[in-house]
Amino acid sequence: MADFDERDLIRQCQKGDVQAFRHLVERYEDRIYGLTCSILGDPEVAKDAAQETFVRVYKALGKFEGRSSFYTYLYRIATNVCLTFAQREQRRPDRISLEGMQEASDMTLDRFLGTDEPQNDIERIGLREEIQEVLDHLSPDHRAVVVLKDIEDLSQEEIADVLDVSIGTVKSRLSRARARLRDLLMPLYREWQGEEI
Amino acid sequence: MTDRDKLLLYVDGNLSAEHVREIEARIAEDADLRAEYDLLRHVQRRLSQRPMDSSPGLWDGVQAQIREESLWNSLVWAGKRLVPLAAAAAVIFMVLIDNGDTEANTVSDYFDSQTEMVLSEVQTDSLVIYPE
Repeated sequence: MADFDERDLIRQCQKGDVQAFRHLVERYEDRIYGLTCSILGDPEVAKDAAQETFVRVYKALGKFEGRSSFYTYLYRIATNVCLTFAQREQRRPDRISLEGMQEASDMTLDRFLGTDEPQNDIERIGLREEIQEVLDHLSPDHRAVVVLKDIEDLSQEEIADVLDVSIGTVKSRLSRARARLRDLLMPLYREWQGEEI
Repeated sequence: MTDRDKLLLYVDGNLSAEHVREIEARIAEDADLRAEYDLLRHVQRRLSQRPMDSSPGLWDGVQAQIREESLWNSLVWAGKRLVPLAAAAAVIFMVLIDNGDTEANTVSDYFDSQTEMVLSEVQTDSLVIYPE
């Protein structure tokens, strides 16, 4: 029924019904904003990217033939927008270097390794920040695959479809991203394990 | 491929069945490798716990941007059609003006040439009729 509603909404949008498009935006905005937040980090930039995603979807919806699911289609556009925004952000001269950030965020990463599942809103906000600190250490391409796999829970085939790359590329990027996280977190993890013992 | 490389593939289920048995045995016997495995699983688990972000409400911004771009596109659309029309109108206008000028020039040239001819005849006649 949900699928039918969605297809119906898409058909109405394709006929120029703006209110139908509003329903689609409201249906997916939390997930798309969550995705852009995870990849980009900064909530304001993430909001702009999510908005840009829906504008691009609106303009391209006439060409959507339903060969992939609408959800995958949305994710593809959102991820492309995020990667464009991330490149733009990287070119900004005021951006702090990763090395400098790593030293400053050791304490946060330490919490990331040690904290249990969040019990309340404050812990949840803390966890979100800690996760973002970890993701910020990855390149945008690697961050995107990790976010799509671990946070959005997409299969590797879906990720390949979203990113328009081969499954081999997805596997390779995942492996390199995990190696980066391992190298970054291993010293802290050993410390944390020592404290636990 | 080293054990550490295999481990990176193993946590995402990308290792062949043959290597899976091998790496599982290595994880069981090697404390360092086990620590790396625990860390990678821990990272995956923590990331999957990321709380959902509530959207700040995107519709107003989306709608405003669509309207703005529609207006701009309309202007571009109109521009693309008006420019050739305006150019065509300008060409027609210029041709009309030019034709008008040509006609006027022709008429004036005609009168000028006629006047010159008459004057020269008069002067010649004068010379003949009233020689000094």
